[in-house]
Formats: sequence, C-alpha cells, structure tokens
Amino acid sequence: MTDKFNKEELSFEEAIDKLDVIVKELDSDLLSLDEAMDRFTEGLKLIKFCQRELDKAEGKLEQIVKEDGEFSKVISFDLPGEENNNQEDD
Amino acid sequence: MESKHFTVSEVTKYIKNLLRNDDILNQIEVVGEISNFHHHRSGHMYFSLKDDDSKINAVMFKGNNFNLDFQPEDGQKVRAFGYIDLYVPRGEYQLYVESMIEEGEGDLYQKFLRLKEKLEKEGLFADEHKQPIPEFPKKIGLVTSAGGAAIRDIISVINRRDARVSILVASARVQGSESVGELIESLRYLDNRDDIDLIIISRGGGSLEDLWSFNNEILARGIVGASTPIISGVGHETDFTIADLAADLRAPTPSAAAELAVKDMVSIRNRFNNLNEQLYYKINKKIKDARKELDFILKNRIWRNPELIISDQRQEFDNISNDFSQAIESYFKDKYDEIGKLSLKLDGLSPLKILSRGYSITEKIDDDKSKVVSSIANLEKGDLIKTLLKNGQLLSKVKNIKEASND
Repeated sequence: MTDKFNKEELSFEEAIDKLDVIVKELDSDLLSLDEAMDRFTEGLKLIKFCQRELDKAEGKLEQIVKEDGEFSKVISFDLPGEENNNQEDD
Repeated sequence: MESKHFTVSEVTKYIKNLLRNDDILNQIEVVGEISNFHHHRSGHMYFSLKDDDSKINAVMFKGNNFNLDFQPEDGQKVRAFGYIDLYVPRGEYQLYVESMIEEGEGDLYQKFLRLKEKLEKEGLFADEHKQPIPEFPKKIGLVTSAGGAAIRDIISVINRRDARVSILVASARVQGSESVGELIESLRYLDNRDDIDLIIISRGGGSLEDLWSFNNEILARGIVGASTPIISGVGHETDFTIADLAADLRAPTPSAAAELAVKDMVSIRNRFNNLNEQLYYKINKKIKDARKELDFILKNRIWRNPELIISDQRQEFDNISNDFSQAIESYFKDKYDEIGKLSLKLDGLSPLKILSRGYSITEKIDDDKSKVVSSIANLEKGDLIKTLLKNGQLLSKVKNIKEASND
C-alpha cells in the first residue's frame, strides 16, 4: 500500500477519492478500533501527499522573446490592458 | 512660382471624379469571396470581396439587395456587378454592388475540405496519435498573439483556477502571411523545451479567412508530431480548423482550452480541507465511542466482587437442577396417568365385563367343539346351543329360527 504513494502511481485525484472512501468507512460501525486506526494512518499519509501538492508555490507568468531572430530571452509577461483591445486582429 | 496645394477634400473629390469617369470602373463585374459580411439594420449590406492577395470593400444597398436569391455569407464565392466609386467621408473607394450571383462554394472552404479529407485518410487525426492531457501541468506553453483577447482569457482563467501553474508565452501572429511560420516556430520551440508539460495553441474568433493559418498542413503535422500534449482553442464553438483536428484535445474557445488544461483548485482545495477535517473528527469519535463502551464495562460490579460470578452461577445451577427434577417428576406422572386410563379402557373391552351388563354369548355345541354364534345362518332347528351368562351357562335346543324383520 505505502509504495502506491509514489507520485507516479497515485494521482492527486485518486488520493482525494481514497481519502473520501476512508472517511466514509470510519463513519460506519463495521470497523473495529484497530481497523479504524489503520484507516486513519492511511488517511494521514494521503493528506500529507495532497498537502505537498497543494502547497506548491505560485507559478510564474513569462514570455520568451527573440534576440537576433532566435527565441532566447525569457522576460516577465504582463497581461495586455484594456487599451490594447484593438490589437486583436479579428 | 508658387506651388499649388490642395485640401484633403479637393484631392478626394478629384480622385472621385477620375473613378467616375473611368469606363471600366463605371460598369464592372468582380469575382471574389465574401468576408466580414454585415447586414446592417438599415437594410444595407456591407462586406469585402477578396482573393488570395487582395481585398476590396463593398456595399449593396437595400434597394438592390432585397431581391437577392441567396443569403450572402462569409467564405462564399460570388460574382458582383456594379461600379467603383469613392466614399468621401472616409476617402475610401469601394464597390457599389447592384446585383450579385453565387459562384459556387468559397475556394477557402473547398481547400479546407480537401485538406481535411486528405489528412483524415492518412490517419493524422486518428486516436492513436492523441496523447493524454496531464492532470496537473506545472508549466503551460502558450502559442497565440501576445496582444489578443484570447491570451487575456486564457491567462485569467488559468490564474483563477490554479495559481500554481506557470505560463510561458511564445507569441505568434495568428493571421496574415507570416502567421503560419510563426505559429510553427513557437510551437516547435515550446515542444523542444523540457519544462513544458502542456501546450495551448489558440486564437479568438473570426471569419474563415481570419482563421486560415490554422488550416495549414505543415502546422497540423507539427501539432501531431509534437511530443508535448497540445490543446487547441481556435475561434468560437462552431469553428473547426485542421489544427483542432490535429490537436490532442480540441476546446471550443480559448477560455475553454484553459479550463480543460487546468483543474479548478478552488473546489478541489475545499473538498480536501473538508476531508482533512472529517478524518480527524471521525477517528476521535471512534475512540470516544470505544472509551465509552469500556467505561460502561468497567462500571459493572463484577469487577469489584468477582465471587458474584460464582454465586450467580451456583444459583443458576440450582435453578436448572430444580427445573430438571420437576420435569422428570411430571414426565413420569403423565405416563402413570396414561397407563391408568389405558387399563380402564382395556377392562371395558373384556367379554366378561359385557356379560356383567346383561349381554350373553351363544355358542353352538358341535362334537365337543363350541363355536360362537353370531348369525342365525350358523344354526338350524334342533341344534344344541350353550348360552354363557355372567354367573353360569344354559344348555338349550333350538326350537325355531326367526329372521329379524327389517321394518
């Protein structure tokens, strides 16, 4: 089970879905306390996995521009403002 | 000598006169493809006629267009009859169309269909070429015009849904003669980088001519050949281009392309936070319930007086053995009563008992052997009979035999 927590094997959505299943299982009376603790531990691992994904830093907005006719320089990109509306060529 | 100068209006009017007096322009027949068609509220039609290299503005007034036998639309090839004149307020010459007929379907559309059919036959659009779109792309490459509306839509949608995603714009013109080359160059550049998880190629809405760069064979092959997954979002819902067919995933609009590329983390985050909370809440409840159960068990007086278990059991044993002896007793009593009843019954059935109630048994005496007589058919006149009574026997001779009469 634990080896499934590798990023390659378990997707974020799968992790969330699994967490959902565990929470539902904990809600039922069918689990013994031992089993419930096992599920909880598994849930903690899933939470850690998801948290790691969610805590990733904010992305960058950049543009690659040409120098001497070649794409070579990365500069930060600012959204064109409303006044540039007319530049849309349609 | 002072050089003569003209006002703008004078020049315009001069040119207008030149055009009006030209024999060819006065009455002309023009073949071209309609684009930017607009049927104004006033009833006049404004559009352009174009071919691969040039374009001329045209107007067809209400009085001329009301009896057209077809509905003009973009991309349609037509033959227009009219004259060229100059519209003074804008200083633009235009074709004043007096009548117009269809020339069959537009060339561009025919070209599109031919290319589509060719590439389709070749299997370029087949599912086997489609790459899966990554679930969480970290960095998205964007091929579109840096000044257009499409880029604004795409970037704002991506930022709103998941701010963790990085975007690298490789700008390209999205129409005109340089466009195809730039689109391919930008696409190739982004595909060759090793940090791009997904590419979006996009353009806002427009006429078939406007979108024409996206109906290019080389671009289509570039899209299919790219090792990075590509989402296309060209034009509006109804616009289908060759690039759309070649892409791994086609979005109906630029912002839809952004939505397909990036999951909405706002709702995912909410769901996650909720589940996170629930997991702790549920396990705490489970533990609390178990503790409650344990407390309940510990409260039992058994734990303080274990001998209660033994005395309880002794009492139970006594109860059981009492029950048992009672059961045995009543069993035998029942049997005994049953035997009494049966012997009484047996007694009633004895022949001697019957004799005591006044009945008798008649036997025929025959060679020292007696035979019970149960019917007159057993006897004849003169037979000797023996009658058994309760306290002795009678020996008699049969004098007469009388059959019982059935009345």
